[in-house]
Amino acid sequence: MLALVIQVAEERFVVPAARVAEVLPRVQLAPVPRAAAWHAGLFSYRGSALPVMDLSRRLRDERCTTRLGNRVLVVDVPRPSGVERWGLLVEQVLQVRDVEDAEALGQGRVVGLGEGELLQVLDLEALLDAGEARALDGAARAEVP
Amino acid sequence: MRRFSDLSITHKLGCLVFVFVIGFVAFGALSYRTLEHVEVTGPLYVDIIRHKDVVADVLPPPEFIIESYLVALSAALEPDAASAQQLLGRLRALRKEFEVRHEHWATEPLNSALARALLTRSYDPAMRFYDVVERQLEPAITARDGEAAIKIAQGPLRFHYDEHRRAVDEVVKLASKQVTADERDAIDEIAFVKKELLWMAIGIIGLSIAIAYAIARSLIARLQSSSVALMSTATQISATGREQQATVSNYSASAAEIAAAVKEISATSQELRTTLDGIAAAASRSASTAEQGREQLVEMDTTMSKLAGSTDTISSKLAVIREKASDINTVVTTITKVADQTNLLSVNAAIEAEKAGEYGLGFLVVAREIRRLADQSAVATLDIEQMVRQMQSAVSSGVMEMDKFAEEVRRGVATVADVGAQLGQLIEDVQGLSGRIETVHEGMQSQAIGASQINEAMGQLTEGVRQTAASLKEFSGATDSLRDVVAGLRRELSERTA
Repeated sequence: MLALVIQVAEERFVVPAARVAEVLPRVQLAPVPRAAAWHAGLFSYRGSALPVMDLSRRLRDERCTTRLGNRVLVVDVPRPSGVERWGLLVEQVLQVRDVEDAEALGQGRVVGLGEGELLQVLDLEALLDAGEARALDGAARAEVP
Repeated sequence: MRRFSDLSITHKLGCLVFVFVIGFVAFGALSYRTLEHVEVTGPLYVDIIRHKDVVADVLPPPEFIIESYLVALSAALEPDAASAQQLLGRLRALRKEFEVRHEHWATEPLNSALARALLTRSYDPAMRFYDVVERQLEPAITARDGEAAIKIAQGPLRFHYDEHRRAVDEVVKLASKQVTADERDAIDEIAFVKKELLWMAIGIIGLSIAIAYAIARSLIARLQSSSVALMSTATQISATGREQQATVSNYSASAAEIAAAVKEISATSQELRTTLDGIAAAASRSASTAEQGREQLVEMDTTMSKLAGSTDTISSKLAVIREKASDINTVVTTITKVADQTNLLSVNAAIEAEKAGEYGLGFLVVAREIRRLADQSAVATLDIEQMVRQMQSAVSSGVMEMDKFAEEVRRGVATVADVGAQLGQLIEDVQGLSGRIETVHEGMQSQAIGASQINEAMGQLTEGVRQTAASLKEFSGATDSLRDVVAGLRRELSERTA
């Protein structure tokens, strides 16, 4: 199974390629007032405003290191109210590679990279469940499709 | 027999007085005899008077008109007309002669009685006589009137003649009386003068002897005191002469020392001159060396100027390099961006290939290759970036170094100019120094000449001193003999006065 190894605040995580719609370079973001700290802002993606989550803030309460290799991963997250499309701001995409355990990837929270190395798989739903209510209020929430 | 110069001064003075007295007595006797001889009523006087009497007795007196009367009578009695006229002429001449004599006596200083008798009482009848002759006798004789003429001659003429004759007699009497009185006065006066002369002679002789004695006494006394003073003076002179001899010998020693010192000075000046020659040579050598140094400095200056130009060129080149490096940076950035885009593209391609499942497997391999290329490009660009950065910093430090170097070169050029100026100054100084050394050299030369002249002069001076010493020796001998003479004089004087 193909997966993306990403770097967020000195740590590496794995995101399954099947869940990534597109990888984009970092673009200029429009800030959202009264939003949570990890909400990096909005940008226009194929005609709609896409909210961007700063994973460094979300996972480690650190500001994302700005570099040329910063990427925004466009992902679709299934929600009770329908599929939500989010942008995840990561420091860089380190690798695109095959990971070993397909099942583990599907069900568990870690995957092996070979030679005994394990990386945590990013749980997108959990990221949104835990923080959505806090992160978005009023106006900002209303603009999210 | 003693000579006159051997006599003492007293005897000499005595001789003088003796000779004077003898002379004076002889003179007085001669004067007395002469006076005796020529005195009034003396033999000479008597002789003179006698001869005067002879003349007076022989010649008819012009002031007495007896001849005129006789001539008038003769004329009156003369029968021959021519002879008569001749006699009349004689009468006129006699009248003229009478008038001349009368004029003479009118100016003579006669006493009043005599003058009245001669000039008035005898003159008036005479003049009347001549008037009668002229007015009456001459016409009668001229008219050949013998009778009348005789009458006139015996009448008025005789009367006037008699009157005149009486006056003349009186004149003779008066004059004789005067002469007798004068003779007596003269005899008295001469006798008085003779007595005076005798006393005067005695007085003068006595006075002369007394004065001569006094002079001799005072002269001897003064000579004695003078001889004492002379003796002491001679002693002093002799002492002074000895002192001077000592001084002269000292002086000759000093002169010898001075001569030695002058010789030393001359030798020293010679050495100094040699040293000066050495200094002058060294100065000219250093001047030429400095000249060479200056030439080299000029070359160095040119080289430094070139170097400054070169550093400027290098700086501009470095600036160009920096510009190029920043250009390279731009290119590298572009390449990096391209690599990044390529990487992104490969990631998306891989994702799409995964989604394509079975059909996307080949595409996935391509995407991987692309990704690897992109990574290599990224690494290469990283390397390039680093290299460019290093190059830039190197260029920057190079530019800085270059700037510093250029500054130092500029300073070096200024220093070289300074050194050149100083060297020029040094050369000028050294050249001036050689001129001054020349001056000093000349001074030394003239000093050496002066020293030799001094030496010569000292030699002459020494010779002079030697001569002076000899003269002093002679002088000493002279003072000794002078002392002897003075001692002899004193001895003689003391013998005379003792």
